[in-house]
Amino acid sequence: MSVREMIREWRASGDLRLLTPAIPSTACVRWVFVSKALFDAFHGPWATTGEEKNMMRARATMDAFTSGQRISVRLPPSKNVSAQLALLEDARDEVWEFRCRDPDPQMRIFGRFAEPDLFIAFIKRNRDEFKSNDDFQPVMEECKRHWRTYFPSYTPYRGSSAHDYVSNCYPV
Amino acid sequence: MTTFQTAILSKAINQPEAASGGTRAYLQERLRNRLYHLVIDEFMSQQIENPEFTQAALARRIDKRPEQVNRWLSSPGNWTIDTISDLLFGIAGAELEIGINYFADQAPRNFIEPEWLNPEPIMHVVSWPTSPIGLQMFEVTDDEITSVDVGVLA
Repeated sequence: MSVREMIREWRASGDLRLLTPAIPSTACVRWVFVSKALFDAFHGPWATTGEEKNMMRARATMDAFTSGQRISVRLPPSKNVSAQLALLEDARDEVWEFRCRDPDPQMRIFGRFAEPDLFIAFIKRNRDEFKSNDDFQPVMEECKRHWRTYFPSYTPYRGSSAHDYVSNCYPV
Repeated sequence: MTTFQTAILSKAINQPEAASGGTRAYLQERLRNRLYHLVIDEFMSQQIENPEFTQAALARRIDKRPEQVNRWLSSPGNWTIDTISDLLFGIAGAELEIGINYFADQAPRNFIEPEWLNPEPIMHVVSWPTSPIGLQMFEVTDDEITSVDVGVLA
């Protein structure tokens, strides 16, 4: 069974959801599948208007990725703090972070690539939950556990440059 | 608890006066991303034409610190109109083209999911057996070939 077939099955069961742009006319060029919990977080209801605004801004970031817009992408050893999408260290873990930096608290969406332009997102966190770089490690481990649950026979996609992961990107 | 949005923008498209803070936040972020895409696209095009055109060179052109230009070009942001003007002129001797898109006038996308998500049979192959028992027809997909019984010839 291929990773696509596994995605198909998880999607059929409802455990993975396809996240398409909120504007119906926006094209889909890249693809994002999200966990059910993350899908629900993107669609509401939300406990506060602040949470709604944060999730909707994060949604716009994901939709920019899906619609094929230029995305700034950071791979180690770059330390660019402004990149929209970053491969976290240790890079061998292949855990990526979409960074929605405005407004505070900043939102982070964690996941892995199954293929070029095919991102599987599992977890969201507010940036202010991370006081130091060490605080990222538990989230990365959780992301890896999610991956093993969904794709026990597959390692995430691995590339050597930003363009290997995301077409039409801007490496920073 | 804020409004549950089953179709995030459809209500807002039809009733902009009822748009929630979340919808407006989405559209604001969307505009930031679109402007960033426009500027970066132009910057990368100029770099292809002139490999010596760097962020530092752009910074000199528009009299900004290189660190500031690096921040602008690293991600979308709440750019001022003056920033957009400086970036486009500095990158390409250009200005922003102004226009309006009406959501209500836009047709929904045709391609809503990857083709491989719902595989359909991609071809039918008909074989004519030597014995006049019947046609054999096969459905062929990426994953398998299955025989389809289409009955008996007279």
